[in-house]
Amino acid sequence: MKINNSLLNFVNGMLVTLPSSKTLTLSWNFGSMLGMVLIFQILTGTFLAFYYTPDSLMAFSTVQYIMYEVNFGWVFRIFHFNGASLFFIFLYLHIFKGLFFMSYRLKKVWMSGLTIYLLVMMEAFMGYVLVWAQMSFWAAVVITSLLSVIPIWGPTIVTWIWSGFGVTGATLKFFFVLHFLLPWAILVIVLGHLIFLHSTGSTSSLYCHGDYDKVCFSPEYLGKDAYNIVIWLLFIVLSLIYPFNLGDAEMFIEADPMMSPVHIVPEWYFLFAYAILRAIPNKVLGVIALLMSIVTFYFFALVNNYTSCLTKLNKFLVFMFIISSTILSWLGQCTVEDPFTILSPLFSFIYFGLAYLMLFIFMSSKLLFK
Amino acid sequence: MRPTVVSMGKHFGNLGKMYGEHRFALAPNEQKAYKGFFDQAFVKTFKTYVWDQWYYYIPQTIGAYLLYDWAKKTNVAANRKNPADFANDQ
Repeated sequence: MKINNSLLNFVNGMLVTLPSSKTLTLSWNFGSMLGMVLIFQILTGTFLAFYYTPDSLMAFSTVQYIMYEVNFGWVFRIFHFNGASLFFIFLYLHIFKGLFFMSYRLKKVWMSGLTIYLLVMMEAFMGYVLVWAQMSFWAAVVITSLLSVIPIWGPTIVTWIWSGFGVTGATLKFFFVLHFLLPWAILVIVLGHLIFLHSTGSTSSLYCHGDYDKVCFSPEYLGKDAYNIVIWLLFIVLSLIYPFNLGDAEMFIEADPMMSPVHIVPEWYFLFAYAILRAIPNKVLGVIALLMSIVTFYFFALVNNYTSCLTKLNKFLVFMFIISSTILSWLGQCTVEDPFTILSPLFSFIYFGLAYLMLFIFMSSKLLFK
Repeated sequence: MRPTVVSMGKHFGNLGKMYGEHRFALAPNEQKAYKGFFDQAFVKTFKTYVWDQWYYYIPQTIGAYLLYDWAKKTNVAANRKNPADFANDQ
């Protein structure tokens, strides 16, 4: 009884009676939307797993079977496929919101958030491979081969992941198991992310007048999460009308190890990283840059600065960062041809330049107000 | 919100010392559900995010679009023969 009371008080203090700022706008709904999409993806994915077979000769056929023969199988697949894009849309909105409001001041929240981001990227990549279409297969070949740049252990790791000497059915089984198990780990980290966040409360660009001017989290902000239903309705309508607009035409061709697609591109949410990878001619440096495009943001959590914020300058830089990321994403799906080969390194440089400039300003602004 | 609020055990009832009290109330017959709706939802939103902040993103977006357009045209031109080289053919 005591334990139950303590747990109840813990949850109550974080979800019901948490003193919250009055300035939280709809931008704070992105996080709750992501939680909803995660649960949605786990549910739709579990149902799809009933009929999917991770065998190299049958995987593609079972996907078609799900689409054509299973009752409402097509709905689950379309929702699962587009749900991944929905997740990344809100993930990027969530990250940009975090940059706008300098949410990296909450170190534990920021660190756990970036970890979730990396895991979700892995999850999305492995899901992409499971379809076992042309783009799936060759994306797997390209991405897993990047691990070979790891000194000493690289080739061994690649062989281990492949479970052979190339991307085969064994690789498919490997990815299927991980694709199914990883979301549960992500769920746990998301829970930690929430606990860290609600221990301190959200950051905001408006400083309220001290501690006494607060509202309860429960009716105000829990109720506000209901606004997400508007996005859900939009998602359902767009998924049913444009089911494969965000996909690639090569995803309808079964994997053929003897013939690669004319142009291999990842999903839209990886294009900026892909552009950075291709912008650097050296393989090792390219992989390092690819990793650093995400790992850079871990460094923001190493700075001890809570109160000194140059909000307008930060806003300008974040907008520039968003625009350069968007251009990088576009460059990532362009062919390796004349003006794009110049623009890719240029915008990769701008991307890293802006990220480190934000970090530098965040470090320096503390000294300005000391 | 400051991290001290929860770490120092502050909850409703002991968040801070307040002197005096102001109370605001609105009688049911004074309420208008849509009062200020269009102003808050559209006019104010436009002012806040566009009118007062256009210089944060609109020039950069236009510049990005122009660059995108230039790159596409340059790529198309690079992938075809130069018509001027064949102007005298007949």
